[in-house]
Amino acid sequence: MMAEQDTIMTNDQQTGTTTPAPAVIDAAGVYYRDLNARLREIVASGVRDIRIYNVCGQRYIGTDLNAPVNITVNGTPGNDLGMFMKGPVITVNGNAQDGCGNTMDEGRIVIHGHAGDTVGLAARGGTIIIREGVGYRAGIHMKEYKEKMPVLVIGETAQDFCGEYMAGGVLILLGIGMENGKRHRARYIGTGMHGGVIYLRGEVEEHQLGKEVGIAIPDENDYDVLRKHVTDYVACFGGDAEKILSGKFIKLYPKSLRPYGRLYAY
Amino acid sequence: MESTARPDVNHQLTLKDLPYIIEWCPEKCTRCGRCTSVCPNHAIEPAVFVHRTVSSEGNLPLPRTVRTVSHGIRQVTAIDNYCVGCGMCSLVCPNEAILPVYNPAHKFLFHKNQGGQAYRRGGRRNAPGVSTLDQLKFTRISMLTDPALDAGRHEFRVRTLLGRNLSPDQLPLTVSDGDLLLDEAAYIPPVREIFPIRIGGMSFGALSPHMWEGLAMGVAYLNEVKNLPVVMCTGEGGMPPRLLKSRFLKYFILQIASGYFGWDEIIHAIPHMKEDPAAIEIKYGQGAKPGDGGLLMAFKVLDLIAKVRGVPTRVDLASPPTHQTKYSIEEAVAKMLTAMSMAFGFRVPVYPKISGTKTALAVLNNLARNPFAAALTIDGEDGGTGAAYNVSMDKMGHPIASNLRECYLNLVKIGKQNELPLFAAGGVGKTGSLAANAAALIMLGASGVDCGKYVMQAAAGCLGDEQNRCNLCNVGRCPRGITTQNPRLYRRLDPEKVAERVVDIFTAADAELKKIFAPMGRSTELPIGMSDGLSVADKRIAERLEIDYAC
Repeated sequence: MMAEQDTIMTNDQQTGTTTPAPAVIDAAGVYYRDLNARLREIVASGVRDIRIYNVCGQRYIGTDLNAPVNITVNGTPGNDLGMFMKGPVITVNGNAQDGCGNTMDEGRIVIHGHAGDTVGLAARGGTIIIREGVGYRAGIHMKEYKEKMPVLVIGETAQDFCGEYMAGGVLILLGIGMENGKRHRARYIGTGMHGGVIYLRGEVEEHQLGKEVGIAIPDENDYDVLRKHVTDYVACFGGDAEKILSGKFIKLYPKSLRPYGRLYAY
Repeated sequence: MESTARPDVNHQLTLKDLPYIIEWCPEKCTRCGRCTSVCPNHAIEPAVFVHRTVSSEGNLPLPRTVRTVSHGIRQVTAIDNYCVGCGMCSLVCPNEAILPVYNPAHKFLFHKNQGGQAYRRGGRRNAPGVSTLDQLKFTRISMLTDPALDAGRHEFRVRTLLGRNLSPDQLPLTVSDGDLLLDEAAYIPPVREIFPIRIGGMSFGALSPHMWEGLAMGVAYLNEVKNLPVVMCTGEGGMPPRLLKSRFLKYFILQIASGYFGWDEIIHAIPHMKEDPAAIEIKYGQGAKPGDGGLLMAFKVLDLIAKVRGVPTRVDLASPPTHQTKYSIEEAVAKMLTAMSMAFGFRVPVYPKISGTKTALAVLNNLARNPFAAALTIDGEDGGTGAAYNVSMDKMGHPIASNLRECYLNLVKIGKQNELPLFAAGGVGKTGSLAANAAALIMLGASGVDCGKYVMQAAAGCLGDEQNRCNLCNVGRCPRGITTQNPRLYRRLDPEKVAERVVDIFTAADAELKKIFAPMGRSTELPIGMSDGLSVADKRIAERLEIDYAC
C-alpha cells in the first residue's frame, strides 16, 4: 500500500501567503504508474518540494512534469528518469538506470552515483550531472537550438559510443579518479557526431574516437564553459574545482556539419 | 605521335544510354527558353548548331560550302545531368515542341555509379506491372443467398479501430444487482475510431511547407466537413507548432523515429495541447528502404525546420537505421511503448511500425503479450521514400500481402485477431487502385492501410512513376515543389489545391470501398479477414495467402 503524507497547506505567519509543505512519498512496493500519477497530482496541487523514499526501479519518474519542482529520489529509480520533463530539479541519492533524461526539455538531474546507458538521450535542454560514470551511448542524439542547449556532465568516464550522433549540446567527461595512469576505455567516442561539443579530461587515444570527430585544445571560451560546469559539479558533490580544471582537457568537435552529405544525395 | 585534335569519345555516353531522350521539334520551337530554365537537372541546354550545306548554283557542278548557324536545345549526356523524364519542359512549352521519351533500351544503371557513387534517389520502386494486390478479386457476390446492399443508399460504417480492442471478458466490468459496473482504476487501452485508409508518414522537412499544409488542411476538412475520420501520420520531424497546439491535433499520428526529430516542438507543446494526438507511431523500419535510416540533408534544414526539430540550421540530420538505444524487441517494447504511453497519460494509442520482413511474426508475438501495444503497422517493400539507395528501394524488403496474411493468421491462432489491429502499407494504390488494394488487404486481415505515395501523387501531381521518372526527391529539387525547402520551387504548389485533391481522393475511395463491400453484404463492420470473399487466378498466390483459386 502507498504510505504517504498528504499535502498540507500551511499558513505562513509572516507573509500571510500559503506555501505548501513538502510532500513525502514512500515508494516501497508502489507500481510505477501509480507513483507517477501521484507525482502529477501533487505537482498540480502546487507543491514544489517532493521527497520520495524507498524508490526501487520505478520507471519514468518525473515524466512530462512541467513545473519548477524539486524532487528528491532516495533509492534507485528505473529507466527513463525525467523523460520529457520541462523544469523540475531531480536529485537522486543513489544510482540511475538507463535512459535518464530521455528527450528532456528543461530542468536539472543530479545523480549522486552512476547512471546506466543512454543518459541524456535526445535531450533538448537542461542539465544532467552525474557524480560517477555512465554506461554506453551517453548523450546520443543530443540536440540544440539557439539558447536551448543540453549539458551532460559525467564525473568519471563513459562506455563506448559516448556522444554518438550528437547534433548539439555540451558533453563533459571529467575523468575524475583517472589521474594515476588510467585512461578512458570508451571506443567510438562521438561517432556520427554533427553538432555540439565534447570536453574530455584525461588520456584518450585517437583510435578511440569516431571518424567524424576532430580534436582541439580548448581555448579561453571553452574554459569559461568548463569552469562554469566544473564549479557546478563541485557544488553538487564536493571536490576541488581548480584541481579538476588544471587537468589535461581536449575538445572534440564535429569535423563537418555534413558528415553524411553524400549518403543519400547525388 | 597521337593527335591531340582527335577527341577520345570512346568513354562518353550517347543519348541511347540515358533513360529518357528529349524529342525536340525545331520547327515548333520559338526559342523562348522556358524549358531550359525549368529543367531541374540541367539536362537540356541552349545550344548553337552549325549546319554545313554543299550545293551548286548553276548548271555546272561547282559545289560551294555554305555554313548557317541556328539556335536550339541540346540534351546533355553527362551522367550527373541525365534527363529524369519529369516532363516539366513539356509542361511549360507553349508549342508542344519538346517531350522526354522513355528509352527502354537505356543502360543507365551501368553508368550511374561513376566515381564509386552508388545510385541514390527518392520516389518509388521501378518494378512496373501488376502487383499481387492488384490480382486479388472480390468474388463473393450476394444475390439470392444473402441480401446484397445498395452502395448508394444503404448506411455504411466504413470505420476501423486503432487501438487495442479488449474483448468483453477482458474488460474490467462486473454485474452487480443487474447493474453493469466499470472498475475505474483498471487500465482500459485507448481506442480511436478512424477511416480505414490513413495517410502514411511523410515528414515535415522531407515535404515542403506548402505540401504539408495542403495535406493537413485536407485532413481537417475531411474530418470536420465530410465526416470522414481520416488520420495522417506526421513522419519523423514533428509538425508545425501552431498545429500542435490546435484542436486539429486529434487528426494526426505523431511519429517518433531513431533521430527523435520534431520532438522538440512536441514536448514544448505537450502542456498546451488542447487535444490528444490520434496516436503515437514508433518507427522501427519503413517499406521503401527496409533496414536503412533516413537523412534530411543540410540544404533542407532551414530556419523553420531547424526550429521544429530543435537543431542548428544547415546540418545533416541523420536518423540511424536502428534505434541505437534499443537492443531487442523485448527492450524496445518495454521501453518505448510504455514510455510514450506514460508521456501522454495512457490516453493515446502507441504502436510500432516495422518494415515488411520475415521476422514480423516475432515482433507481433511480442506485441501480443504487451498490454500497451495498440497495433502493429507493417510497411511492405513497395513504399516510397524521399531518399534511398536504389538497391534498398528495389531489392530490399518483404512484399506486404503474404507478410500481413501470415501475421493475421497467427493472431487468429492465438485468438487475438479482434484485439490487436494490424495496419498494412507498401504499394497500396501503386497502380491507382487505392480502394481495391485497401479492401484486399482488409479482407486478408488488415484493420486498415497506410498510403502515402498515392495521396502525394494524386494530390500534388507528383511526377514520379514506375519507370524511374523524375525521382529527384532526395536532392531537394522537386520540380512540383513537393519535396523541397526551396521557396522558389515550393511556391509552385498551391496548398489549397492540394487540400481539395486530398478531399477528392478520400471521398472517392470511400465511395469505391462501399461499392466493394455492398455486394458482399457488409455494411456495419469492415470485412476484416473475410478471406472467403477473395480469389486470385494464380494458384501459387492462392496457396500462399490461403484464399480461393478462381479462373
